Amino acid sequence: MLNDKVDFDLSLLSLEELIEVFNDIDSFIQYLLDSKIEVEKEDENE
Amino acid sequence: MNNFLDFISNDVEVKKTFLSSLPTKTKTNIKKYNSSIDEFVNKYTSYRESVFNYIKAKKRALSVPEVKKDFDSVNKKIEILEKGRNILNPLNTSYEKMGFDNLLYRMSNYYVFNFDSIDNLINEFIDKFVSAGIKLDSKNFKYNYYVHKYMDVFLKVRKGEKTQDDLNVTFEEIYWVNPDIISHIEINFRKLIKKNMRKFDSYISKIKKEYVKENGISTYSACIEKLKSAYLEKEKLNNEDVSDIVEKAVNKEFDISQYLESSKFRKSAYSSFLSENVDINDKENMKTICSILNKLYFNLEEYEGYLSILPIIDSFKEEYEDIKDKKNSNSSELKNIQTSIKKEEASLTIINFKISRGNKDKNLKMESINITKRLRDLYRKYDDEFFKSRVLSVLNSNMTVSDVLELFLSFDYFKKITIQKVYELNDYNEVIKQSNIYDEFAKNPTNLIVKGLPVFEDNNIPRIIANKYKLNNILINEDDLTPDNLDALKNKISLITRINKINESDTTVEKIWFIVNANKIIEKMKAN
Repeated sequence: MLNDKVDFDLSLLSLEELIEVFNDIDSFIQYLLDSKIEVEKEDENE
Repeated sequence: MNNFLDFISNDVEVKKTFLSSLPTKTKTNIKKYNSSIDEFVNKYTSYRESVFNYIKAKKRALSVPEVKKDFDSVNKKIEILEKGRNILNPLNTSYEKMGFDNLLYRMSNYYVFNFDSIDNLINEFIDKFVSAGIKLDSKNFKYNYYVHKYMDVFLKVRKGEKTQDDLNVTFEEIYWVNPDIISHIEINFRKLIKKNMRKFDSYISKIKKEYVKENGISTYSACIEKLKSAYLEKEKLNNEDVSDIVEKAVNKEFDISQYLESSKFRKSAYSSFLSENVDINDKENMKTICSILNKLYFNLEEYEGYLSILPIIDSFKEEYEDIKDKKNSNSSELKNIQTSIKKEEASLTIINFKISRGNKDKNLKMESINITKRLRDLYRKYDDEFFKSRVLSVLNSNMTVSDVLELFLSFDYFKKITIQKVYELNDYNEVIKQSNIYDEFAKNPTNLIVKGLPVFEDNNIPRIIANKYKLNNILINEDDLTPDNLDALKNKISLITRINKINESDTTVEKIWFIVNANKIIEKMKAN
């Protein structure tokens, strides 16, 4: 079970799906981190 | 929503859309935008942690226990039998069995290979004499004035009476007058070996008796038979089990995704060897097919090994092709060279005597150098004729590749000289590398193809192999067996036999695929 509000049973996933879901989550985290905007650079537009 | 994978897939899209809709023009906008990102990162990091822990646990649950294999005992057995192979070898003499040909190869190529130190080589020579009960002193090194001068200091350094610096100074002094000093030391050793040959013969004879007594193996052929059994025993131990397959997959020695049922490579591997009417789900049938494919695999490995040493075989063929049917003994040539050596050495002894008696004639020293040069050439010529005499003793038009392999294996000096020539090598380590490749192949008593391969005929090994396996209903033709194709063929055979092994076990290809990918994830998480 996941320790989160979303309560899914990972044992329902196939082995291939487990790897896939991990990679999707990992890629999304990377996407999010890359999407952050540095505030200081935007100061001039304020 | 069916499962977590679908949830993530949808949720990612929703969150991406949400983020793209947020304004980012002002500092406040950006702060809010970044704050949303942080919230999502936290949530997804927690998802990732949970999935990661689950994957780790699953990987542990699916792991295949490693089977412990004890190679020590069989390796020890092979080591003892290899000693017997050398001691009992009927083709060579005590000279080769003592390893003098190996040392002389190194010494005679000293200048070609730029060895750092000649002293280690000289010590190895002296140690071999000592092992046969022969003690050498400076009186044994009177080949010419310079050899005596160098070896006198060398032996004193060996005894601790002089220092390495003294020896270096002596070498410097000699080298500028006689740059051939090393080849002169070499022929001094050749003369000493010749003079003491009977002692070496009895030493080897003693070692042989001890070996026979200790191991109960008295003939060369019995030794080779036992070696063959030991090699087969090792081969059996080397056979992959499922834990080896998992390890190789994890270490990326092959791509496990090619083994999945959906893989095109897997489909082509089956269809390239097996006809359509073969039922690959028939366990008994697949067991038989895999046993045949394993044999094919070993034949391909032997063929690859053969290709790696083929230039050596071709060089032998070229040299002896014309005389294989009309061979004449070269014993008279050998005797003539021996007589010339004796004559030149007698002249040298007279000159050395004059020099030792204080004769100051500078020409005497030059003459001694010239005679020594001629003697070096005579000894090398003798080596060539001696090897030729051994070849002639076994040469015939029906000789097999296996016979030639034995010959070069028995005469290390000629094996290395040939390797140096055919591969055009000037680097000692390269010669040794190629020599080791040769030894590994030539020593293997389980080789099958080369045993029946006539060396003086044009052989088509791909055809021989393809015809053999066509009889076993394996789809293969000689065009498949070009050297460039061998690796691909071996990979396909491995795929079929490994899948069969996996199917016979408690695990599956999919589980191994998971272990491999789980491992990649664990490595990645460790690195983060």
